[in-house]
Amino acid sequence: MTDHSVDEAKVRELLELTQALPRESEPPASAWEEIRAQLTVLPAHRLRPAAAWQRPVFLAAAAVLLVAASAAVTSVVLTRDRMPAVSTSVAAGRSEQEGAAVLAALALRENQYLQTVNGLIELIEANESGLAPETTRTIRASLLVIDAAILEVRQALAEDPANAQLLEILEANYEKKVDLLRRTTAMARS
Amino acid sequence: MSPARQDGRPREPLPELIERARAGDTDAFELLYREHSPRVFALCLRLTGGDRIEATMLLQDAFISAWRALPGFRGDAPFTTWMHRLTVNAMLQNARGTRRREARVLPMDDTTSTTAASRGTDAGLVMDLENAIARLPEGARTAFVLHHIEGYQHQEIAKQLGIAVGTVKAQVHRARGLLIKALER
Repeated sequence: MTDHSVDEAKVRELLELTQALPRESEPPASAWEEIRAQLTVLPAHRLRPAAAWQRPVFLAAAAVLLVAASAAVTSVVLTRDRMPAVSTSVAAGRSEQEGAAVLAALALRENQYLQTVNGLIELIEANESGLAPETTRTIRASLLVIDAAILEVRQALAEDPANAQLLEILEANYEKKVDLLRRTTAMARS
Repeated sequence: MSPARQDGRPREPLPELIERARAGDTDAFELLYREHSPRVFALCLRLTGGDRIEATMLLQDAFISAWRALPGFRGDAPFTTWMHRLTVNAMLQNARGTRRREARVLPMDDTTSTTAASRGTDAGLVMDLENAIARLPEGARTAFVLHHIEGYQHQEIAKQLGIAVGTVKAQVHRARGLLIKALER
């Protein structure tokens, strides 16, 4: 038997074995609850600003951004009809419009993150007894660091809303926060 | 025979469930989840190298994406195929965001004694293969899982991963070689 046919036989064996791999695996029972928490929009009255996991700085920052986005859109709408014909002014106006659009899109995205974060916080609060005090302290400290980073990037974005790199960093920070909260939820339930 | 769920209740036809979920009915979406999550979770487990926490998060990302994208689901492809695509997309987004999985990938040389210990039976061989797949480098693992387990064509994988068809073929080939080597030990 040649090397080539030996190789072919081995590949065939491997692929036959692959067909025997299970095609289904039951996910953890808690997985759906976390998904569901993120599907439903939580009404404002269910937010608990004083709760341990709630980050007032985060909510305040989001509110500031929503106001900034709204103001920027208003500014563009008000100035749209009286744009000067000078090319530099047109360019500046376009940039202003782009900035407003970015801020408006960002406000929507932040709203989604807020819903996700609030849903996860509720789940963590419901299962907080499953976490060791030291773990809770560490996670809170980490959340504070992430929130500070979010605030800093958002302030920079308010100055330069068209900066794509800042947007990417902001998104990464939000992802980090959601990731940490999800892991915490999983830990609290394990 | 009318289809029935494990709890004995009649199963609602998929198009109706999708329609209700599309209209914002979370109960309908839960039924879709119950029906499809085992298959999606098996894929998540393989794509994440067997990390259950990571796989659970990927599963959640995929279904949250599905919820958001449902209004755009036209039924051109089966729902399962669509869910699998969303899962791979979610994995790619996570990989782009943090690259956290890369750091955890063990080299194929790092075989453990549990792999050898479970040899001898068909079930043991299947388990060996599962372990060996989990230890593949991420690119090779993704290509192998999508091609040989999920049945995607090389072109489809290339399109979804945003890489050349030749790269996909090379990754699949590499994965096969590494797996054969691992199973021979």
